[in-house]
Amino acid sequence: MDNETNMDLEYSDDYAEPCPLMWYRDHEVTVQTYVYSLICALGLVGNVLVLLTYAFYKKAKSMTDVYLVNVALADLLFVVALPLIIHNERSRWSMGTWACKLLRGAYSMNVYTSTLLLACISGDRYIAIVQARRSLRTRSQAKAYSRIICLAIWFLAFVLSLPTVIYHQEKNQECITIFSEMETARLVKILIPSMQMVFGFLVPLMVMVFCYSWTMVTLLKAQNFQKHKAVRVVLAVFFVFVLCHLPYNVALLVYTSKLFVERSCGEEQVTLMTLSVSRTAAYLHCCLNPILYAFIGVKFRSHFCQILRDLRCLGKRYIYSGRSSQQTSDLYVSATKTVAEQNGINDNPSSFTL
Amino acid sequence: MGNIKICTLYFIVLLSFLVETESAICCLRYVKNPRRCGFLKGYDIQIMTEGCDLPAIIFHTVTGRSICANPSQNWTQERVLCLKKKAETMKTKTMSMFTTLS
Repeated sequence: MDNETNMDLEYSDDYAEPCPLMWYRDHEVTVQTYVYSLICALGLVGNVLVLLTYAFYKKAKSMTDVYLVNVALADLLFVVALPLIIHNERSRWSMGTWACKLLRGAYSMNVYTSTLLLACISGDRYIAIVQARRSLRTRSQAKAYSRIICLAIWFLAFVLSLPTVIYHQEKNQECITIFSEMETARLVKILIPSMQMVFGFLVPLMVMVFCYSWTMVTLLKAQNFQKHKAVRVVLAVFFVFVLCHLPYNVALLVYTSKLFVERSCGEEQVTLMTLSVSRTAAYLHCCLNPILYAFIGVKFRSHFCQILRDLRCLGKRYIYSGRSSQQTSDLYVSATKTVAEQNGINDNPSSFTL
Repeated sequence: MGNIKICTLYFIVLLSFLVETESAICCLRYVKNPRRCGFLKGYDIQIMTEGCDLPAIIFHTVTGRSICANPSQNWTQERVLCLKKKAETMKTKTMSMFTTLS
């Protein structure tokens, strides 16, 4: 035994122990809970209001409107699934394999549909502003095209999310990817994050850079008092997209590039913690979308104010029903007076009798 | 107003999920120097078809620690065989012991 202990000491600098990957969770859980709760609340209210506004007041008249409805729908579905995703990320998975597949798939679907639709919005704005003269002719047909494009994007998002859905399973109360073959594992573990980086970030980013750049150039040339506001809107939209999604995709790239090779425990822990924090920022984008895209529009705000006014009207109806009660009371008082007067009349004959 | 109630419900749901979690543990690198079989008392297998991405043999030492070994190296497979022989020997001795008692 002493000999074996000496053996242990002799190699004290050569000890490759298993690495606890998620050590940071206990420290991070409280902060993330508040952030996630905020995301749920804002995302739910914002996207529901967008959908309500389009459903009851503002018919989808342009391509951008159709895209916005779909973005709000995708973000809403994700926000509804988010509490369950949070549960998965920090405690034992108790919902079985199908919930595991669906929730992982929900996140994947949201990433693709949301970012690709935002890219389409930038494309629509490019056509509307930069190609203004040429687009007048085809504008009437554009709405039909946008619906087809939305369907194509949802379908593409579904196809891109299939590997995530297929390979995620619950095992030992963890929601993880499980494969039957090592070669499949190697391929898919690289493929899933790579597709997410390319189609969920790089492609939309390149489309946005192209379209918004030309839009900016055209706006700056225009002799228009409104152009400064439009430029600010374009810049805000673009930078928020980058700020929310770039850190996560960089962290994902770093993480993916280190798969299947030896690395230090501390290094991996930092990478995973960075992934977790930056994913929170990426989640944040789904409750900023209503503010950036929908409520920025003047017409949309007027319709939104219409909602508020209608809510006040509902309030006034209650007040009005109160007044109705008062009117009824007045009638009762009048009737009482009439009866009293009749009694008075009866008294008069008595006077005459006297 | 209904949205506020829904959000409150979600917040409560979130709070109820805050329980302690077990960390996922994976080998991320391999030990460089072979260990003697006498120093080892057992092993586990880490496969790359699940949560971890490196295949590994995790040896448990008599000092209560775990070390990660590269399964493609010869000494690793030799130690696995050695540990299996240990188990076989223990099995034989245990059977002999019970035979003697009866």
